[in-house]
Amino acid sequence: MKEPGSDIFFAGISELNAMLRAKQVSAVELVRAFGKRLEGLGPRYNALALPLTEHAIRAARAVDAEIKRGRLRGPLQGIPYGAKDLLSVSGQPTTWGARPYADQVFDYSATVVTRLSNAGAPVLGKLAMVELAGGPGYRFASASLTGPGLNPWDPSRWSGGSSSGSAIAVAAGLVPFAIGSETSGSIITPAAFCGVTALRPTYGLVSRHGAMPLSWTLDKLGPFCRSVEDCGLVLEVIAGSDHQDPGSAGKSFYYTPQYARKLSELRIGFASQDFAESADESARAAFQQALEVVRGLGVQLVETKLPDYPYDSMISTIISVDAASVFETLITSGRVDQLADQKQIAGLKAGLEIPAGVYLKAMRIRRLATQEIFKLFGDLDVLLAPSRRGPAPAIGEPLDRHPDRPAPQNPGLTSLIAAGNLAGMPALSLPCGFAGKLPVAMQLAGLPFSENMLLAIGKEFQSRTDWHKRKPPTTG
Amino acid sequence: MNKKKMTRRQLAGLILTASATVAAQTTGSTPSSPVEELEAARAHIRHTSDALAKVPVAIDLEPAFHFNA
Repeated sequence: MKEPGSDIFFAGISELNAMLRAKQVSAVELVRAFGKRLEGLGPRYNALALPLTEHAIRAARAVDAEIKRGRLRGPLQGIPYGAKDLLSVSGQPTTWGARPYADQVFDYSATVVTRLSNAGAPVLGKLAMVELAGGPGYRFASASLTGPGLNPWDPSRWSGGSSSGSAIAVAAGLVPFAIGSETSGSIITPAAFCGVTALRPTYGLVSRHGAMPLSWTLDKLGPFCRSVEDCGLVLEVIAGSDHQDPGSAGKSFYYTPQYARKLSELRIGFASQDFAESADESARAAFQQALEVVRGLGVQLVETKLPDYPYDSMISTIISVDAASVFETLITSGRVDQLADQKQIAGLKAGLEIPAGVYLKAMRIRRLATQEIFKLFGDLDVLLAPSRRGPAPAIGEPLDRHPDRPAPQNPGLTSLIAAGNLAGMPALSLPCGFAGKLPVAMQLAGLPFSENMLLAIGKEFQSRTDWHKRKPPTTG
Repeated sequence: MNKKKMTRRQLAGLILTASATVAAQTTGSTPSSPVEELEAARAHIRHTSDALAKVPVAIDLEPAFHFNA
């Protein structure tokens, strides 16, 4: 077998798996090629927390032996991947992106890592992240043990967070897919800024056992991939019941695009101003064109908006209280001051002071808001909005500074990230164009466990566009 | 009624911190010290608490504790 060519770095999972089965490339060769690239380019973008190439080569050898014996496990067999550094890999450092945990080692692996291992996918490296997955909030992109995540499309821009390394590594062709996490926006945001496809699954569909907790009723794990189809393939492996996760929904997921409803039957709710005046000016043309592509799918587009609730206040309160409780020892010991971001340090300390009544009020309104959001789906199947209002901000720009323009009179679906997370809804982020040289994306969100519907719409969108196939100029 | 005594230094510190917090909130300037950061975080909590307090809820509405999607 000859050494694999550079075309493999942006190939999809099915393509790579076909090459493995046809013995055009071995699993070891695939791991070596991606490992070299991840270790070479990963640090350039501050995307790599820990290389595990040797560990992955051992796993790949076993895969090659299996393939030789004709034991085929499924489409992920022999496909290396990266794991956000909040997922434990037995015996390896798991830093949570934070200095106080730089030497932390667990003696067990996260359930998603085990599931992927059982499917024959070797973990190639731990990927960088914002410290403590952003905790109750951070001000600067530099809030990470590995430095700011640099965007492969323009390294003077931020990658987005908190799953920075997961998005960078997929965008730059350093891994075929990666696993990240979202509490409120940590999958959707970096996927949008780096121009990759990613899925935030329904709360409880993917076990969080072995993942750093941040907010018990909000944390979710999901895939970053080259395409919608790859997201479906990865989700099928990582989803499933787990008694070790108290939030587990006890459900499996089977990717079944063949059983998707006819697109002409689907009613998609959107707010036209989200794609116009509420969006950054530089991104409006791309959003408008993407909206027209969606319209061209034959779906019914229906104007809608989220019920009027203080989503940001709710989610901020819940995360602040949960995070302060999770990291109480870190805070009271004073080691919290070792974190990189002053806003996060202060937010964690202040979180301990939030009265129980305020937390309960947030959780009561959450129930009310969730009920009202779900009522929208009496008339609609899916919600559609820009993933973020515009492209990635510059490195060094304060992330908590709001644009100098008045809030839109009709908020439309601009709070869909917070609202969708509060309601446990799945969301799919799809690259949908460019603002200058930076990618922008839109998100589809649906009722819990509607992943197959989101994937079906997304797959059709990607069959008519090539935004997800674009390669960053700096990655070769 | 208990009267809490405050030194002039404490009073000056309180005024300075409050001014910094108000300034940070109104001008969007970045807090420049850990003390200002903590005050800004507390101000944010007050702001979010006020927003939540404005939402009326029925007496029988239970919190979403046993959260299942």
